[in-house]
Amino acid sequence: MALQILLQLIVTGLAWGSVYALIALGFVLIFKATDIFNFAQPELMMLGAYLSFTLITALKLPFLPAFLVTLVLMTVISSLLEMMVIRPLVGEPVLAVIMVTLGLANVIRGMTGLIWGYEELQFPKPFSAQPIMLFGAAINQAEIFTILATALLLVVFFIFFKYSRAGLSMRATAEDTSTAFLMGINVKRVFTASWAIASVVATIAGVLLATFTYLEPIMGHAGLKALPALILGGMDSVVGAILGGLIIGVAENLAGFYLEQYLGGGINEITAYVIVLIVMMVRPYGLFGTKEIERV
Amino acid sequence: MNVIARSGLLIVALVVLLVLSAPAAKAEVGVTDDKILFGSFQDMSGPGAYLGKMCSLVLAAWKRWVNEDLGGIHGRKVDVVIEDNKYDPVLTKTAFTKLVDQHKVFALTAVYGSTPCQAIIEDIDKAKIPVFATAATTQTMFDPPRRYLFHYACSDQDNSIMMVDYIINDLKTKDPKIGICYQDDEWGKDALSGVELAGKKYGLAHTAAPYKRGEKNLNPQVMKLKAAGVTHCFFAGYAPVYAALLTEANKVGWKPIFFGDYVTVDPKTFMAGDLANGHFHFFNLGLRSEGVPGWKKMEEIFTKGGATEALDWPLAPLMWTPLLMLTKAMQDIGKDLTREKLIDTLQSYKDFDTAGLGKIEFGPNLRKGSHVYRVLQCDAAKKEFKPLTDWREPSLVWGKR
Amino acid sequence: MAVTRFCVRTYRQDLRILSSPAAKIGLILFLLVLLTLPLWARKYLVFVACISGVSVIGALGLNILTGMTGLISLGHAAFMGLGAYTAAILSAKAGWPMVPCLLSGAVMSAVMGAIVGVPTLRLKGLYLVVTTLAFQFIVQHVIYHWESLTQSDKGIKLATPAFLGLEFGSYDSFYYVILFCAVLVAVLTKNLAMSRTGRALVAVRDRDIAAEIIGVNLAKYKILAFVVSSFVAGLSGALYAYLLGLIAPDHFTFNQSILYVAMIIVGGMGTVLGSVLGAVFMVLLPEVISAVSGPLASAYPTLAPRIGGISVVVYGLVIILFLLFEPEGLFGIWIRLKRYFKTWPYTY
Repeated sequence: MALQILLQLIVTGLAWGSVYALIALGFVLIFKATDIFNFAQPELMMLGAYLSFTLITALKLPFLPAFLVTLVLMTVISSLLEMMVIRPLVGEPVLAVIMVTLGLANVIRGMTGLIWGYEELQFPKPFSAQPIMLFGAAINQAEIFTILATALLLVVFFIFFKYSRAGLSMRATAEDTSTAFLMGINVKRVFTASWAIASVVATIAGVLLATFTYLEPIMGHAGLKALPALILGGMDSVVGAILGGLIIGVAENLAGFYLEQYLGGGINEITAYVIVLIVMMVRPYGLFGTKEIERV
Repeated sequence: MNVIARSGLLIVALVVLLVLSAPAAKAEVGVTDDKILFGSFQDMSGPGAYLGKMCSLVLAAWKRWVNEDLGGIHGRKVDVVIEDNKYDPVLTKTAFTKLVDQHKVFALTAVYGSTPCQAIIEDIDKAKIPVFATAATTQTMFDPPRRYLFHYACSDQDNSIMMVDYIINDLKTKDPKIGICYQDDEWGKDALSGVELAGKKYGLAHTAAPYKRGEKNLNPQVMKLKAAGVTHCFFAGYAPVYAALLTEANKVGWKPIFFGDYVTVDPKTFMAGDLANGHFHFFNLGLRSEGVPGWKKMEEIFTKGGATEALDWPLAPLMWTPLLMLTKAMQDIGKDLTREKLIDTLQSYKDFDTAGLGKIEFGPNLRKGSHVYRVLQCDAAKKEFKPLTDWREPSLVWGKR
Repeated sequence: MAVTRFCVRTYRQDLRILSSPAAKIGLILFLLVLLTLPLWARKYLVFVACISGVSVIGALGLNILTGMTGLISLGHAAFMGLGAYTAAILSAKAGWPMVPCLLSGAVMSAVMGAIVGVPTLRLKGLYLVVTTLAFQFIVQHVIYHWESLTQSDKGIKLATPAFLGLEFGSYDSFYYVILFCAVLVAVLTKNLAMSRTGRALVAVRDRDIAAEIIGVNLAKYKILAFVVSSFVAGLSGALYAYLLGLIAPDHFTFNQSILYVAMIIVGGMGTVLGSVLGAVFMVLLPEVISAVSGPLASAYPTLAPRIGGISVVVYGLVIILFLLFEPEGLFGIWIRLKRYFKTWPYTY
C-alpha cells in the first residue's frame, strides 16, 4: 500500500511536472535565442487554451483542427507582440524587459477576462475520462498525453538546437547578438521565430492543462511553478527545463502528501521554491545551465 | 510622445483634482431629500470577479426595482456606488474609506470575501456604518457580534456538524471514517472546527486535508484521505475545485460519500459530470427548481433589470434576500431614516417573509442570519440539486457549543 | 554667464542636494502643501496621501537595491511583511509603544536582508530574480502558517500608535508620522546616493567587475545594499501596519512586489525624485481609472462587469508604454519639463 501510494504520487507528479516543464521550455526557448526573460509566457499559455476553447465551442471545430488553427493564430499573435513590444527594448537593461513582459502579462490577462469573462469554463474533453492503470497507479489519458508531448518536445528541441541550422543560429544570436549579425544571421527573424516557437509550446501546455483541469483567467498561475523549474534546470538548457519541471512536479506532490502535517497545508505550493533556494546555494547556474564566464 | 505624455499627465492631474474636490453631501450621511446612497465593494477583476459580476447585476436589478416599480422609498430613490477591491485587503480598505468619506454612503450592502471583510472589520465599528449584509464565510464576522456588521451566509461550522449528524442519524452508518478537504483559510478552518466539535460529541476521529486557494492538483489530498480509508468527506471550497476533487478521487479509485458546503451548490459542480451524482450538499436558500414565489418574483425583477444571468446562480438569494429585508426596513422606518434606526429595525424582524427563499433572522445580539439548512442531493443527469430533508439545525446549536 | 549657467557646473554645485534657489523655493512650497494637507483635505485624500507616503518609502527602499545597485528583487513585499509583522506582534502581544515597534520592524527586516544578501552574492540577473521570488513565497507561507504567532488569516490588530503621550489614531494625525518618515528616508537616500557609498553602489550596478578592480569591495556593498534596502522596506511595512491598524498575510503578496518594481520603473530608476513620483503615480492610477470608470459604469450598467478587466489592461499598458516611450520614467519627463521652462523662450 505504502509503495502504491508513492507510485501514484510520482505518476501524478510527473503529469503536473510536464505542464511546468512545457511552460519552462517556453521560457528557455525565448531566453536561449534572445536573452530575454518573458514573464508573459504563462499568459500566452492561457491565451492558447482560451483560443482553442472558442474554436471548439463557438465554431464547432473538432479538437485536432481547432488545436492546429490555434497554433497558427498564436504564432501570429506572439510574432506581432515581439515586433511591437519587445524589439524596441533590445539592449535595454534586464529589468526593463522583465517589466515590459509583466505588463504584457497584465494586458493579456485583462483582455482574457474582458472577452471570456471570469467564470471558470469547462474545456471540451477530447480524451476519455476513464483512467488507465499503470503498474498499479491510475493516470488520466489527458495526463498521459501531457507526459508524452513533453517527452516528444524534449527530443525535438534537443535535435533542433544541436543539429538544425535555425537552431544553431538561435544559439549564436543568444551568445552574441552583434557577432551573429555580422556573420550573416538574420537576427530580427531569429527573435521573431523564437517567440513564435515559444508560443507553440505554450499553446500545447495550455491546451493539455485545460483538458485535465478547467479554464480561468488566472490559470497562468501555474507559471509561477515553472519559474523554479527553469532556475533549477538552468535558464538556457532545454533538458534542464524539462527535468526541472518534472522534479518540481514530483517533489511538490510528495511534499504535499508526506510533509503537510508537519509544515502546514499548501507546503506543496512552496516546495518548488525551497528546492530552488537550496540548489542556488550550491549551483548558482542551475543543474544544467551554462556557467557564464565574464571576460574583462 | 512628449506632447502626449505631458497632456496625459495634465489630464491625470485634473481628474484627480476633480474627483477629490467633489462637494460633500450635507445632513444625514448618505440620505438626501431625493436619494439614499448605498455603497458596495466588489471584485471586478481579481479571483472573485465572477461573484463581483453577479453581485453588480443583482444590485442593478434591485436599484431598478426600487426606483421604478416601487417608485422609490418615501420619495427617495436609491443609488449604489460600487468600488473595485480586486479581492485585495488593502484595496478594500481604500474602497471602504472612499465609500465612507468620499461618497458618504448611508450603508454598505452585498459585500463578501473573508480576506477583504476582515481587513475593514475594525473600521466598520469606528465609522458606525451599517453593513447589511456580508456573505464572508468567516466566524469573526458574527462572533463576537458587532452592532453594525450583519452576516448572511452559511456557517461551515454548522454544516460540518450537520454532516456528522446526518451520517449518524439519517444514513445510520456504523463506524464512519470522517474526512475533510478544505481551502486552507478561515473559511475552511471553520468547517474543520465543526468536524472537530461533532467528532468530540460522537467520539469520532477525522482526517483533514487542506489545500491552498488556487491549487488545482488535489492528488496529495486525495491520496491522504484515501490512505486513511475515509468513507465520508466534507468539502469546503469553490465548486470547480470540488469538481476537480471528484475527478481526482475517481481517478485513484477512492469512492467515499461527499458533502459539499453551500458554495458547491453551483452549476460548476457539474463540471465533474456523473461523478457529482448522488452526493450531498448543505444549503440555506430556496431553490429555483422548487418554483417558490420568492424565486418567481426574482425571475420577474431580474429579467426586467437585465440580470437574467444571475438567475442561473443558485446563490443569488444570498444577495437578494438581504436587499428585500433592507427595502422593507427602510419602508417601515418612514421619512426619518437614520443608521441607528435601520439597525434597530433590521434586528427586530422575526420570521421575515422571504416567500420560500430561506430563513433570515437577526437579533439584538445576534448577527448570524442563517440558522437552518437543508440537505440537498445532487442530480447530475438533470443538473439539479434536490432537497432531501426539511429545514434543520445542527445538533450542537449555535451559541451552545 | 546667463548661458554658461546651464552648461558648466562646478564640483561644489554638483555636490549640493538642491541644485538651484528655484529648486529650494519649490521644495519649500511643496513641503508647505504637504504639511497643511490634513487641514484642508478631506479624510479620503489624507488616507490616499498616507498610502502614497508608505509606498514612497517602500519604493525608495527598492530603489536603493534595484535602481542604485542593480540587484533586482521580486521579494520586496516580503521584507515589508517582515517589518509589518514584527511591529504588529510587538505592538499587540508585547505592548511595545510605536517608535520601538517601527524600529524593530525595520531592524528585523534588515537582519533578514543580510541573511538573504549573503547567499545571493554569487547570483546574477534572473537567477537572483527568482531567488528573491522564492524568498517572497517562503515568507508568505511562514507568515500564513505560523498561526500561533501571526494569527494567520485573522490578522493582527495593532494598538493605537502613540508617541510622547500624543495619540496618532486617526489618518489625519498618523499622516504626520508617515510624512516625517518619508521626508527623512528621502533625504537620507539622497545623501547616500551622493556619498562615497552611493557611488560605490552605482559602480557595482554599472560594471561589478570593474568596480571590484578599482577597489570597491563587492561583497560588502552588495550586502550593504540589501541591508539598507530591507531596513527601509521594513520601516515602510511597519508604518503600513500602523496605518491599516490590522494586517493579514494577504497584504504582502507577490503582486505587491511587482507593484513596487513598477513604481521605480515608472518613476525612474535610481533617483529619489523618481521613486517619489513613481510611488504616487502608481497609487493614484487606480483612483484615476475608477474616477473615469465609475460614472461610465453607472451610466451603462451592462458595462459595469467589464470595468475591472479594463483597469487591469490599462495598468499593464501604462507599464509597457512607459518602458517603450519613456524609459527614464516620470523623472525623465520632469527633467525635460524643467529644462523646457529653464531655457524658455529659447527652448530649442
